[in-house]
Amino acid sequence: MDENRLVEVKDLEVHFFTDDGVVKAVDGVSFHINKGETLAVVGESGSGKSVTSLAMMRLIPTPPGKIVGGQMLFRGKDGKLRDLAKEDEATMRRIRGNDIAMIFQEPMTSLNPVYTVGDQIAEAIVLHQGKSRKEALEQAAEMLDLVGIPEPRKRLANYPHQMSGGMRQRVMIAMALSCNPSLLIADEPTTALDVTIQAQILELMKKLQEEIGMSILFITHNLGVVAEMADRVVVMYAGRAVEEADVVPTFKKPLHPYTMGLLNSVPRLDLAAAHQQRLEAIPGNVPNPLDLPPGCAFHPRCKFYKPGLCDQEIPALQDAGGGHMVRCVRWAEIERGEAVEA
Amino acid sequence: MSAVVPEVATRPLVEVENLKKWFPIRGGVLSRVVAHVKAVNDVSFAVKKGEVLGLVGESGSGKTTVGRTILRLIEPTEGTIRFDGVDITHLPKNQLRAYRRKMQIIFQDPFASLNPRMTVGDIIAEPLVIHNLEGSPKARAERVAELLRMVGLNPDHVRRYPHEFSGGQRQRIGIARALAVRPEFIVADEPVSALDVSIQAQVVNLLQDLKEQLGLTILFIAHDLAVVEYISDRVAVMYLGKIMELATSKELYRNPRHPYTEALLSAIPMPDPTLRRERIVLQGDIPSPINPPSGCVFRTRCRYAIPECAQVVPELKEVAPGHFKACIRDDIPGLS
Amino acid sequence: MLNQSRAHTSSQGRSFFQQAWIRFKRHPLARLGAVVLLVFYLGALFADFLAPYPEEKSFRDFSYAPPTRIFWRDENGRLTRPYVCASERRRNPETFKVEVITDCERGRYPIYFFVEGEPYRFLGLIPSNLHLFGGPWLLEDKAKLFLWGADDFGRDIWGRIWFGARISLTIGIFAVALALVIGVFMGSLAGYYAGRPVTFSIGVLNPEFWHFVRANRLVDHLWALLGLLLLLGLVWTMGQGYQQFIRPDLQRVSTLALAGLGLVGGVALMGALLYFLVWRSHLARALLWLLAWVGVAWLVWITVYGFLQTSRGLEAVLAGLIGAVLLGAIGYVLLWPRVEFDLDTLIMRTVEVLAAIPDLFLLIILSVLIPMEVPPAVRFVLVVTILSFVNWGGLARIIRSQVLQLREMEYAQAAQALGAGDARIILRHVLPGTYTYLIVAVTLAIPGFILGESGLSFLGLGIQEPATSWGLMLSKAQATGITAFTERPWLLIPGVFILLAVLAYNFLGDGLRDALDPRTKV
Repeated sequence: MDENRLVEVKDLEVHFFTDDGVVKAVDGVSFHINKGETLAVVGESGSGKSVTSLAMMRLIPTPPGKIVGGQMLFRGKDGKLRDLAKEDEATMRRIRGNDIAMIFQEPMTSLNPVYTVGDQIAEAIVLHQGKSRKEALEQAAEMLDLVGIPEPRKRLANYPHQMSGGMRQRVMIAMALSCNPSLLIADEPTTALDVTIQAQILELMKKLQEEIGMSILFITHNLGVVAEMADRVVVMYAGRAVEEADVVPTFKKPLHPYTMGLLNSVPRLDLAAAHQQRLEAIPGNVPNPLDLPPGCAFHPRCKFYKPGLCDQEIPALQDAGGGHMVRCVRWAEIERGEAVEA
Repeated sequence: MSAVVPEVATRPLVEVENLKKWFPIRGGVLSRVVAHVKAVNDVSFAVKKGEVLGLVGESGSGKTTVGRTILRLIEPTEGTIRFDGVDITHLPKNQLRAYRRKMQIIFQDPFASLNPRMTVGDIIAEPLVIHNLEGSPKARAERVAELLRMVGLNPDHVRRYPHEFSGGQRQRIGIARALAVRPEFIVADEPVSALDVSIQAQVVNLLQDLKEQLGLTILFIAHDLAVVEYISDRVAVMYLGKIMELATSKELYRNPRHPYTEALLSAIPMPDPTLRRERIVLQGDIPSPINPPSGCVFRTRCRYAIPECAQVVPELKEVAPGHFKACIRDDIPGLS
Repeated sequence: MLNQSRAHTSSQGRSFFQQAWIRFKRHPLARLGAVVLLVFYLGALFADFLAPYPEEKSFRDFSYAPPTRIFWRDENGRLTRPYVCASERRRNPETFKVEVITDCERGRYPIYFFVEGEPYRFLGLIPSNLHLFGGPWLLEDKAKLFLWGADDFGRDIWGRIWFGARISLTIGIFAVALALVIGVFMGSLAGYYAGRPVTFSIGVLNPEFWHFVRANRLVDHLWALLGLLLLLGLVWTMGQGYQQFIRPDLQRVSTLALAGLGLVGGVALMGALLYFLVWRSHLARALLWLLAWVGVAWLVWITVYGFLQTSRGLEAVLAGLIGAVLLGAIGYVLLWPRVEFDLDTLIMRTVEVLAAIPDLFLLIILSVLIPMEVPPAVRFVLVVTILSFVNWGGLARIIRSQVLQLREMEYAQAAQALGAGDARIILRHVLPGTYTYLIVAVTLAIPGFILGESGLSFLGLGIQEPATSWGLMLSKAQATGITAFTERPWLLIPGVFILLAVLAYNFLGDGLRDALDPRTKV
């Protein structure tokens, strides 16, 4: 693996074996994350974005879920290259929190209500760095200071319910960063927060990334947040990556019809002057994961759908130049503007 | 304090004057009232016939409480609510029923707002049964089918249960239920917040079509300023139980005059990576509505705050035609 | 993780109960439970047919007789029709213990199936004498056939298991049903009106009163007055019944049963009249309160008068008392600004008071009220009533907590926004959501009631000999102490049946819970 790369996921497959059949939640997803880079994974509910992140932490609930294929190469802080898909549980426990840390959407439920925040941050430090409790608490206070919590020493003795949502998310970040991980997985970290608080958290994450230099895997459905945070973007739909590109081409020159549709369906404040007459919605619904449409899973909702072409085989992820990957058989026509809308 | 009802050209359908809703907090052995959550604290506005008034605010701003209080789902503590000129603030239950036909609500969570044990047909027919409309079962079934078509669902699905539908489809069912009684006024309480991005646009478009077709008046409550700006004719911005600014949606975005609106607009991340803006990041958290700051409630996070802000409760006053703001400072460059 | 809305394709066009049935069939343990219970209930139904002896037939000599040995081979060791041998009870010369000795030399009696035996009436109606097994020698008492041994009176345990099942398996259901009715009613009222005091009436002098009276339509007032008249008639009739009832000289079983029936029917009718006619008019509500107080005065009168019929000179005191109540009533209705009750506090405090009294103590007090010479059927009804009266509190609590949560669901609010009344919201939107919890609570409660009955029976306050129930039968095992385990294990068989029934109910409840939840997919 390239020295510059921290993570390389190849053909990851995560299946859930339910009573009703096999749900291919993640079906052959590949991507990589460079050192110090932020990769955003965008998708709607059921796209498999959260499952991907949980798979990297090996936190898929088994049963019913199982990583059935693929590799997740990760270069640890010790410089060793590991395939996270194959490591045993003991190694994973060392990696979790220490090499890879994670923050979740709901800061209310991801903190234990019966312990003080100081105890909870210190726990991870004691566990991974073998420091004494006193040293750990000292470091916890430093971490709280780092994430911009005023009077950190006082706050150590607070319980989660004594803090606001934004504060709790800061505590979560402090906890995640306490062991200096090389990868931070952020699963919808601002979705439950108010806009003004979201702005604070995003600014904080950017600042911390500059200072610490970790890579971020940012899972979100909010395109505005993606535009703001990401260096590169992976767009997922129905368990597959449909487009992967740097952030600017993703927004300025999207090649996959789903990415285009997603961008068009968001009401835009910055286009308010033009004041669109009507939002361009993607018709139809997110498909049933037990009964995906044949061929390209997006074809029943796609405006460039061509019968006999799109509904036959699952299109391959193709390189459209400059690392811009797209999973659409008609991407070239679409790029040239020749594709006719159905 | 006199009511500040913005003047309107056309007749207002819904008028709210000095509305207050304080939720008591009980404590102690005798469960006496120890404090109040001042969810809505002196709010006045009017919704004109046929317009969409957007109501934006962050959590704790009281926007949802305003919507529910207008519908008398929550009893107001103080103030007046008028519907079509009639004071409905203290109407007894049996008389309120007639108004329940005229005012309806669409809820945020399409999974919680439909009874999981009723079929879609029963859910949509329920208002017809309650108000004894469309007499015969056959006429009711026809009306249900018509409503399902109106919201873009297959009328053959009447016997299915809500859990068999996706989020967007369920929200359509909720809309059909609200429309069953042919209401004049609809409170849409965050109707798209819980939906996927690609589905949001469908529901927003549907609401807009229905508004045109049926001549509805809508109070559109949301925390997403972009959606509100898109669908509304006018927008009111709420913060800690008070209206901070009220203007036409274009005006509000192009020319915000309240420091809070300015910060709110700047906090929204734009889906455009090439856009480089200077962001105003508000410091601190939203104060508790139990004990809001004195004077202007926003002053604790306002970068333009001056000592007087703690003394005077700013009135919502007209600073330009149809543009109201509640701020004592008229001298802020860029905000006047 | 998989929070996708899965829908669209599956479970199309099936009715709710078809889907529930499909889900139920997937639950092997629940199916097992259902089958076991079905067998038990069929056994109870056909107890006369299954048992070789009538329910009360006893053989004093064969007290604690062990299961009769059934032979499969004849003296030559060849396989043959099963038979039993003649037996008698005598002292074993070696151990000096009294034992039942089987002696095949004195007679072999083959067992036949579907034979004629002791006559009985199936369901108490159809005369029959068909039995599952036995033989003509049973009628002539040449040999005994105790499949599972005999109890202290020398009665066949196998047969009495099925006779006992009639009581043990139904008492739980009836008691739960009654407790459920009371519990659901009280619990839903308490939950739905928690924190929302209910205004029953407004004092006539309160200016709001006339505002409200004018708000009602004239038709409503007229209907309400008619309702009041009907109500008055009903109360008077019930009062007459009560007056009869409390007179000790008239206290008979028939009056007891009649009073019970009259009470249930009367309360239901009163509720209907109240809700559909009287409640619509505020004028009638005020009048109702006045009447209610008059009623209280009257009740005081007839109760005291009834009990103290023989003594004289009390009338003056009574008249004073009643006058005071009436005066209070008029003042209350006229002047009291608002008659407001916090139903939640009222009901839940009652539940707590009931819970604070030890169950057994309460059961004993109430059981003592049962007259001694009542026939078993009435005794059964009264035991059911007592059991459910003591136990409705738990169900009411479960319902209340559920209702408290469900009334805040958005769909309940949506119904309110649509103009639905409280009754409709409770019945259509709130209570159905409690079904799953109720099913579990009820299936867990039924075994509790079965055990409760056995406890009462053991104390001599429940079902009494010669009628039987599993609890009563098991108490015999307890009566003989540890020897039941070592020397007379067959006395424990009723316990096995209780255990099986309890388990079966739990499995069934588990399966039903999954099946009746429409959110679990097919």
